[in-house]
Amino acid sequence: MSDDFRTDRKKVEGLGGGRHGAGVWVRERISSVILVVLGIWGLWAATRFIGEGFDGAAAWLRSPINAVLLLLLVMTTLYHMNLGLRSVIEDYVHKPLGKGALLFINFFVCLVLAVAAAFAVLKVAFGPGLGL
Amino acid sequence: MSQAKTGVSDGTPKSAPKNAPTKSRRNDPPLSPHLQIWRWHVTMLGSILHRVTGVGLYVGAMLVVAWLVALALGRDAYKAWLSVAAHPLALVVWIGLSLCAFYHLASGIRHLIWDTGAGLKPKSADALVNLSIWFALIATALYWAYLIVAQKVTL
Repeated sequence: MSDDFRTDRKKVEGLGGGRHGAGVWVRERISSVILVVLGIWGLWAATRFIGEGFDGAAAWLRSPINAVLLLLLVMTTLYHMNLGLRSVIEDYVHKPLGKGALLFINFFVCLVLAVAAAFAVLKVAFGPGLGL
Repeated sequence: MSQAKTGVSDGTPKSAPKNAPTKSRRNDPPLSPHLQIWRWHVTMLGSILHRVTGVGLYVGAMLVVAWLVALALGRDAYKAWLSVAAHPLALVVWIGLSLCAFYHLASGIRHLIWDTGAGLKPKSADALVNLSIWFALIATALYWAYLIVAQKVTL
């Protein structure tokens, strides 16, 4: 018998180029399925306010359904693109410091975008009427 | 179970320190052949485009959030935003982003199909890639034709 007490799972955990197994792969797929539906909605939704100016865009966003769906779309997109760019960085950047710095920037950019989008959508949706 | 065990321990000496830089690459997993000895396949283009359009949409998401922030800042800020975003030259960016979105969408569905194990034979794999490229081009053309005909976008 072996004197190695590590389980099979422990031996393979953290292997692979990204050192995080299949978790990211699965999460990319789950978010992509959501984005198929929300993405098509978003492309259609854009045609509802393009060319309608400030009033048209604000009126569109003040509809609760539009505000909630748009926030879902933006958040799922940010989640998905964070994972996607993470794969790109892990594929091409191998020096620990550079890779770590880029992964941090990737995370931070998505975090800032998420907060900005949430604040902006809620401000318009809950805000005063169009006489801003 | 026993198969998995041998699969893991095969070729890995018990004494080898984990993740230590090895002088010999004897125990490393086999590497795939590099680009120059692959015969060109449209699936390569499909894969490259998926990644490129994905990175393009990363920038696109920033622009969408910028649009939302401009809208939240009020009428004057939105006017300033439109002076840039509704500029004829900006149209190139928006058309490019919609092309990225339609391609990444179709290509993503193709990947989900492949993930089930279907459509991976060379012929059907090539057909699915061609389909996603043509879908992206036609959908983008129709999308902008509609916006222009409906006079939502004026050239």
